[in-house]
Amino acid sequence: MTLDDRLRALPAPALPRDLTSDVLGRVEQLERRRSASATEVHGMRLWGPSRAAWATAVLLALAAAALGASIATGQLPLISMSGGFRLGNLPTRVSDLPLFVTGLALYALGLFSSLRPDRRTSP
Amino acid sequence: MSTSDRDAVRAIRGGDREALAHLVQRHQGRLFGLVLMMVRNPAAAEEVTQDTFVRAYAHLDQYDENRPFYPWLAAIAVRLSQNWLHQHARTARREGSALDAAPEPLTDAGVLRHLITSERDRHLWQTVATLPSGERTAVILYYREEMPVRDVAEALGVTTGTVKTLLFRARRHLHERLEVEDPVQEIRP
Repeated sequence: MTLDDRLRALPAPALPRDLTSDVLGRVEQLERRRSASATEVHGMRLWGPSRAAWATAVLLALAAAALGASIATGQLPLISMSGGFRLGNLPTRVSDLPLFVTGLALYALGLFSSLRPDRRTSP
Repeated sequence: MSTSDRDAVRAIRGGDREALAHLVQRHQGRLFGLVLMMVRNPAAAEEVTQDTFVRAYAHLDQYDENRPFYPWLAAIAVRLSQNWLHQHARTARREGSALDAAPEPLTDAGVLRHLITSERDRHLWQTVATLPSGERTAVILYYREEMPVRDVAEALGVTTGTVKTLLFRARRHLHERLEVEDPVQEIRP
């Protein structure tokens, strides 16, 4: 018997145990993780369980609401009197409000995207 | 791809877990043998074999149904085994001499006796297991798995010329170690 013949006839070692249930269990876990991260968009977890991200979102929402209310009532925004902001940088007409809120939303979106890259789906 | 493999893959894509179980049962023994020869550690081979099926399931959308299923699965197993070997080598370097001095489990006749009953086959296995990683993987894929050189090259991520060289060197090494009379010949795909 030649070496080639012997190598072709090399037997498969006996598998110590059936791995089917282990594999199915791990696939089940994988599916659960996939379901839990249904909010993932293009590999980014925008609204994951990050306390920092949620706190930032709440603050931004409050700022937008205060600004909207102040414009609607004709009062100066409270935040402009606390320093750090110049009145000229803030919208002063109701028609500017959607643009400003959209800007804030885009800023928040970019912030969360950079904060929560999801590495689990990387190849 | 055999009809049953194709049907199983389609069923799995449709959410049928029973089909996945059948696919695992059909290929686990063959895949375990391949991984065992690469990592040379039965416990690690079990782990990597499981990882291979889970990885294949997770990336089933990337599988082309027009191509045979097992070579695709084997390519994943080869990559994961190579990762394990690199990680194992890094750990050995970090931990120092204690791990370096540890024997490879597959060269231990006691461990191998449980996996291969025939003494002659066991001797051949042990000899193949002493080949360098690339050579022994090429030997297993080409001879025992009966994969064409082109598929072996794809699984290893090298050219067909490299595979032929690996097989030629492996045969030469095996001739020396087994002291067989068969003359060294060029591998023809």
